[in-house]
Amino acid sequence: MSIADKSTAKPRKLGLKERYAHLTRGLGWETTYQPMSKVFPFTDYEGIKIHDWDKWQDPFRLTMDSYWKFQAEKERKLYAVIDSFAQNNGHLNITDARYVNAIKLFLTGVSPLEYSAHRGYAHVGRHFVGAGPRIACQMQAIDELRHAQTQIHTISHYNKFFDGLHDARHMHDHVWYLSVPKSFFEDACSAGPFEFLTAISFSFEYVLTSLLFVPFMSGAAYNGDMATVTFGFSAQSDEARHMTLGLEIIKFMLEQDEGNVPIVQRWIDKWFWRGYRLLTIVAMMMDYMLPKRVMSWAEAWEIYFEQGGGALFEDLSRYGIRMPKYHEVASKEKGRLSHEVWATFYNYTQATAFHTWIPEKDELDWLSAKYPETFDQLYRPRFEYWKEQSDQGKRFYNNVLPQLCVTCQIPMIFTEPDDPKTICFRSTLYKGERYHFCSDGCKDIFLYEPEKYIQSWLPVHQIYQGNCGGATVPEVLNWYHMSLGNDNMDYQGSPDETLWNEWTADRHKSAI
Amino acid sequence: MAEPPAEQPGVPDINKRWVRVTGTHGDFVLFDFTIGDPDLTVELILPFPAFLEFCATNHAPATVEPAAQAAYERLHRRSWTIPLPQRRPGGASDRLL
Repeated sequence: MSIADKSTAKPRKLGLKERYAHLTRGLGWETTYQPMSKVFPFTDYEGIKIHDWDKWQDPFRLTMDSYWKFQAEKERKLYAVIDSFAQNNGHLNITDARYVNAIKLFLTGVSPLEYSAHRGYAHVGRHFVGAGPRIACQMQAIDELRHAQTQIHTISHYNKFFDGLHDARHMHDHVWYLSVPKSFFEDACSAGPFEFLTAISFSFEYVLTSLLFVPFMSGAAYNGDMATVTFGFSAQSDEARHMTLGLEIIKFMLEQDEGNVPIVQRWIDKWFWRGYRLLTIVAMMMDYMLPKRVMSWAEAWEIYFEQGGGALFEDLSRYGIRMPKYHEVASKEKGRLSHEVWATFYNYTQATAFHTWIPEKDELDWLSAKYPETFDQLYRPRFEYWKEQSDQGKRFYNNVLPQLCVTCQIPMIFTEPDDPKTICFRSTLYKGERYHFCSDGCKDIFLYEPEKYIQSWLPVHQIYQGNCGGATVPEVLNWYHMSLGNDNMDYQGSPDETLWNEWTADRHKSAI
Repeated sequence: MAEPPAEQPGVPDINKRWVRVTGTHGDFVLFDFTIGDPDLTVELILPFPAFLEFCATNHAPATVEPAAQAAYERLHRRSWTIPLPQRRPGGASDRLL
């Protein structure tokens, strides 16, 4: 073909396959000015051996331009719905204002994790040698950023009407119980790129997220919170892609080298346990914070982990991967987890950006029915006692700060796997200092990387050392950007309750 | 001169809602819930009585995927054959155990 022919010929449109190859694999190259090992310094030190990056199967054949087009269209509809709910006073359609406390916990505890995930994927996406995983990480980084934005935009509507939603970012970085999700993600982001993907893409997204997204979205929908359901639209469809990436990265590592198997297994063990501990807040949301319940935590654990996860690990057994260590402990705890955690937040709600309460009688009955082996014997009498105290004007607030687990940073509230009446204490000596843990799972994680975890920023220690605004509750709350008596304390008597009763009284009147 | 408006993409009507049953799990119904546009779909799970209440509250017509039909009908039949004394006294339909 001559040059003249070329210039007049209509440019040939690339086929889908070619186009895809150019826009993904075609973007990578072997460096020449600098050795590859210097350009990608983090790919070796974790011990994972990759022999052929091209063996990476892209879970979704998506190029960046089609990603933008597809997501932009989805987002346009999504924001139309968000606006519509805001204009129609969507907050008045929820079942009860107590429900909003689950949203407060979500905005301060979970949405900032979406942003952390965005940063994490952007970082590791830079550090993989293969173009396949780099592109997948890049897209997930943008997904996570979109999720953070959508959640903030959706929940901003509730911020106009309820307390505790005004400064989620600051709270996430300062408040005691929020150091649990924050430290979880910082642990992952400060690990190597392969561990990060095992932690977040596999253990969290693949094994555990369905416990958060399906029952929580169902709870939101059933309780009339269509605003939260809208970010479910956005998140769930991306989630399917993320889960596929999670499984792909695990299979890729396992197929590349036999030596990778024990490393990956150790990460699965660690991140299963860390993820499970993080989900304690979800257990509490499901059993205590939804005025209309969907399913108990124990039921969710059975459906989504014991059955769903069991099948997954059976599939992975051909690579030599077994169920995560201590999964049986998680199953033993399923009948008590939410009760232990709600009781703790009930104790310390003077320092939380959400309200707690004693469940109503029919709610206690629901818990008795869902937890026939534990609730009446172990937990109901305590709640009834607290209710009695509260009715006499002696609502109990615990003013002694709890000891924290160095690894998960949750107060040491969990009980022995085989004895729900004894607190589970574990400890170890390291370089002359004693460190405490809530479980064998958390202790194992510490023992493998003690130099990492001795740096944990433990809120209780920091408060006692005077690093959190002062020595009194009002000073610490001020440092947290919480307003005493508004954002915190019991729901009964809170401004949220007062306003809600006014609004709904008006609604009832106008209905007549 | 006023340009004819660029193609105005339709805003989804949030009052139009649909439900599609995709499966069951024990006493739970698994379903897709859509508001206004098929792109705005979320996967949910509810106990059967709560599911019925949810469809009614949202004025959402429900369809059942062929693969889920048999299991859904079993759940439906069973819920009507639960003898009354097993219902919690005074419990609302969503608390049917």
